[in-house]
Amino acid sequence: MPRTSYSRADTEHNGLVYWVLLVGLIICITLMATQGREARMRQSIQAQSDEIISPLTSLVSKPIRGLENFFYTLSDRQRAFEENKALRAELQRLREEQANFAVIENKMQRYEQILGARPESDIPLRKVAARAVNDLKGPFVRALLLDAGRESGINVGHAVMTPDGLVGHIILAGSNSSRVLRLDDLNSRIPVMSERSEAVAVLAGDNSDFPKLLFIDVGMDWQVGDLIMTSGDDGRLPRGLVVGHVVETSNGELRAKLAGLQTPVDWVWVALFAPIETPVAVDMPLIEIEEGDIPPVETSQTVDGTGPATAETPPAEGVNP
Amino acid sequence: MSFLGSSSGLRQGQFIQALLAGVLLTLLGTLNVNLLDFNVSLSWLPLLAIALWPHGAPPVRSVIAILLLGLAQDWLSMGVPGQWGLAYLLCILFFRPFDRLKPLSFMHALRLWIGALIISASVLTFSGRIIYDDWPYWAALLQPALLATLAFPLIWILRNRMQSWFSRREEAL
Repeated sequence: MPRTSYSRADTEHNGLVYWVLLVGLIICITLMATQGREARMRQSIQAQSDEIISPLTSLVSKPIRGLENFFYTLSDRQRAFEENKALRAELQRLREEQANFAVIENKMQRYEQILGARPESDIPLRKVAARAVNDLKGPFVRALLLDAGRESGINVGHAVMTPDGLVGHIILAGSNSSRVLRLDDLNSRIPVMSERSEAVAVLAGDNSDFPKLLFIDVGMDWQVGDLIMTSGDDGRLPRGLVVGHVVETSNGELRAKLAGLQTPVDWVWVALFAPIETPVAVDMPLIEIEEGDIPPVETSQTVDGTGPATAETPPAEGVNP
Repeated sequence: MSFLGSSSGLRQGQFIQALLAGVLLTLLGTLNVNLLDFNVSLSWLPLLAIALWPHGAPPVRSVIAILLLGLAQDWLSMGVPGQWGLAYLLCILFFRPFDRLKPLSFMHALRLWIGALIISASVLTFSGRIIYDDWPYWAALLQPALLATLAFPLIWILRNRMQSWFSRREEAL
């Protein structure tokens, strides 16, 4: 830049400016040092700013969304004929599969009755629809802003889905807005499993479009193309939510192609799943037991089968223990 | 037209114009555009308002406003508070719009914008490396910067129109 455009003599009114600048720089560095990556998610001020920005963003984004829809409609029309043919074929296949599923479901119910297993599915039935008014894709942050919050029953930890698959989970819930941590965010870690082999791993976001599959043991059976689902091992997300498919990078690393994030996220539903609560230690008074209070312990039948032997009974001779 | 000797009303007008542009672009910066299978964030647009900050605007108020704009962008983009604020203030420290004698020409403004891009990208990259212990996702860093660069001529024209309007209004008063 040409230095001749600048004045060095006129510093009289600028001395204060440099002090203000210095104070500003100190404020910024202090904030960065104290409000780290974890702290930002707990901030009530973040929830408050989301409450303000949610309706504003919704308003400002309307013309942009209109433009996007216009382009999508154009491209959709171009491929409508091919899609129609493919959908008819898929419908035919799905009808056959639906009949099979009805038989399997009936069989499952009978097994569950025989085993006395808990009949309901892990996948929650209660869902809340919400609109993603803002889809942040920054160099370090990938998050969505939803226009529904606690008043709709949404709370921290709830899974956020599109019809294609899991998108992320709620990390901040305001009264009428909520913030979603996308699966590809740097801070996202969720336990997943392969639908085919039930091998488990941790899906770790790294701000790329294909999150990593971590903690895969050597013996675990993961293959390219496997359907990835939530394993529910952390007790925070329900088991069986579709996440995506396994893909392999050029250096042989296994990553996930996220099913729910292949198209722009607009409408989503929030699965109102109650996570398994962390057990709380209970203070119980110690019971003092005197020697005479302990009844003799039954260990095994006597050899001749006449009655139960006690711990004090010596083993019968000639019998192997 | 030099603003150093201009009336306080005109300086105030410059400040309001810059602040309005900053607020509007910060709001726009929270959005992202999905077009033709590309999802690009508009998060670098507010930096245009900072790089093109008018030299007539009162300096102290300008610095405070720029700090607040940076912090607002950090909160709205769910980033770590202080990252954008630091980038903006460093841009102002390097460009010193309050020490500038002449209004910006297009080429001078373009050089300032490239300088602002380099400063901000460096601040975001290295502060992010320290905070997140990871390098940024380069595509998400560079795509919005490229989009903002494409928007630069449009913002430049709008800014000049706004400045002319404020000048005419001041002369009429």
